[in-house]
Amino acid sequence: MVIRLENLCGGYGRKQVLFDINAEIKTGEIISIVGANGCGKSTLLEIASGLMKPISGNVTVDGEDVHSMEGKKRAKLISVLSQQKSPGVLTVRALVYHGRFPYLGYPRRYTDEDRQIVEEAMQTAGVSEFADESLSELSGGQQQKAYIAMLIAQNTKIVYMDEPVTFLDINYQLELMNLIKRMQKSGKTVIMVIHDLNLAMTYSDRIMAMKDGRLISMGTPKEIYEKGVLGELFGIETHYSKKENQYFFKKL
Amino acid sequence: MKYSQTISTEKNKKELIFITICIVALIMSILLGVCLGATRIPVSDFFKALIDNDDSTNSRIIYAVRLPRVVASVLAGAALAVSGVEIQSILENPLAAPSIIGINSGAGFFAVLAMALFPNKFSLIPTAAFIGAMLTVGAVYIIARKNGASKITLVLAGIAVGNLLNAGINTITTFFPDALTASNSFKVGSVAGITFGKLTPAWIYILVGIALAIIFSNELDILALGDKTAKSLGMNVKLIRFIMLITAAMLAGAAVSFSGLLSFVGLIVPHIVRFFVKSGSRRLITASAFLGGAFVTFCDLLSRVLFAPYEIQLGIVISYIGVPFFIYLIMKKKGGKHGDKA
Repeated sequence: MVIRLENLCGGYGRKQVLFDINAEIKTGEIISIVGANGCGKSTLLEIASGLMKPISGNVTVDGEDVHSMEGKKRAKLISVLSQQKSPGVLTVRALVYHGRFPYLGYPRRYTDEDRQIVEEAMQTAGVSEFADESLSELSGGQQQKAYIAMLIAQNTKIVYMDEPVTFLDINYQLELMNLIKRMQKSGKTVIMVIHDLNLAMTYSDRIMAMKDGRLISMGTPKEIYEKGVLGELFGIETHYSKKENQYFFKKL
Repeated sequence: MKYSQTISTEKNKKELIFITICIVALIMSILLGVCLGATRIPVSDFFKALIDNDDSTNSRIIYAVRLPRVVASVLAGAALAVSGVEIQSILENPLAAPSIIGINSGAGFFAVLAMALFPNKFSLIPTAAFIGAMLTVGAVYIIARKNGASKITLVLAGIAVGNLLNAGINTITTFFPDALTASNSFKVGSVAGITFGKLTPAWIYILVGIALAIIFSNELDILALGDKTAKSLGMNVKLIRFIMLITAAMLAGAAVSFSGLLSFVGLIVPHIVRFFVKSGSRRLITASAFLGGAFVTFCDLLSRVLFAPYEIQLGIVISYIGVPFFIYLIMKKKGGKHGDKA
C-alpha cells in the first residue's frame, strides 16, 4: 500500500498555509511530521487523512483519491485522532463503540465481532477500568486514552494522529509509542504530528520536517540529524548520543 | 452479559430508575392535570370517560377542556426538551436552547405573521412556525460556524436575533391587533383554551420529530464529538447536521405554534436529565421527552390551581421555576472543569 501526496496546496478561506507538498509513504512506516507552531503540520494531516479538501493537488492510497472516497469506505481505511475533541455526553465504552460506526449497516446492530474488538481495544488502551464513566467527567489524559481506544476499535490500515501524547504522562507516552510500534508490526501505517522531538526521533522511521507551509526535508531520523534540519526548523542544537541511542536538544 | 453494549450494572440501573421516575412523573402529571381544577374529577371518572364518552358533565369537561390542555402541555414540553437536547449537541454548547438562541422567537414571528396574513387558517400556523424556526436556526448556525465565533458569541447572537424577532412580533400585534386576540398569552406562553383542533397538525410534527431524534441518536452522539472526529468516522457531517437541525426546528416550531413562546423548558429539562443520564443521546432524548412533558404539565396545573379562580399564564410559572434553576446552573458551571472552552 502506498500513500502519495502530490503537489498539495491547502489553506483556510483565502489564507494558504500549505505549499506544494510531495511525499510517498509506504505500508508499515511510522512517520512523524515536525515543525514549529503554525507551520501547517495539522493542516497537512487533515488534508492527507481526507478530513479537509486541498486547494489543489491530491492524496491517493494505492492510486485511489482519498477525497473522492465515500465517507464510510474511507473510514474503514483511514482513522484520525484529531486534536480538537469534545467530550460529548457518553461513556467511554459508548465512545469506543463509535469506532465501529463505519462498519455498521442498517439496522444499527453491533455484532459479536464488534463487541470483542471494542473490549480488546479498551484493554489495549488501558481504559477498561473506567469504561462506564462519563467521558466529560474524566481527566484530559483519560479522555485522550479513550479516544485512542476508539481509534484502535476503528482498526484501519492507515492511522493519523494529531498530537497523540497531549495530556499524557511520560509513562503512558512511552506506552503509546510502544502501542504504535505494535500497530506497525501488524501492518499499519502511522502518521503523526508530534511536538516531542525525542519521541519523534526515537520512534519514527522517517521524519517530515516542515517550515512555513513547505516540506523542507524528509528522511530517516539519522539523515535529518546529519543534515542539521532541526537546527534550521527550531533554532536549536541537536546532539546524538550513540551510547544511549538518544537525541539531546539545546537552545542555540 | 460479558460484552454489554451500554453501560453496565450499577450506573445502568441508576439511569433506568431515573427514566422510570420520569415516566411515572409524566403519568402523575397527566392524571392530576385532568382531575384537578375548578371541578375535581375522580380518577375513576377519567378512566370511565376514556373508555366511554358518555356525555356526562365530567366527561364533557375532560374532553373539551382538560384533556386537550394536558395533551398540549405534554406535547409542548416533550418537543421543547428534545429540541433542546438536539441543539445543545449540534452546537456543542450546553447553554444553547431553542428559546435562548432565538428559535422560539423565530417560530413565533412567523406564526404571528401567518395569523395576521391568513386570519382563518389555523392549520398554516405550525408550518409557518416551523419555517420561522428553521430560518432562525440557520441564521444562528451560520454565525456560530463562522471562523473564530466562540460559544459565547453564539449565545449573544441568538439573544440578539431573538430580541429582533420579538420586536417583530410586537410590531405585528400592534398593527394587526385582531390577528392575535390573546397576544399576551402567546408571548408569555400558554395552553389555556386550547382545543384538539389547534393541535393538528402540530402533534404530527412533534411525534415525527421525536422519532427522528431517537433514530439518529447514535449520529447525534458522534456529532457532539466534534466535526473532525465525526468525519473521520465516515459520517456525512453536513447532511446529518442538517437533518438534526430540521428536527430541532420542527419540534420547537410545532410547540410554539400552539403554546406560544415558552422559554426555559428546552434548557432546564435537558440539564436535569444530563445530571442523571450519561450513557448517550438515546436515553437523554427519551428521558428528556418524558420529563419535559411532565414538567410543563405540572407547571400548567400550578398555573390553574395556585391562585384559583384566577389563572396565571403557564410561561410565568415556568419562569418562576426556571429562572432560579438557570441562575443556579450558571453559578455551578462557572467553577466546573468543563466550562466554556470557546
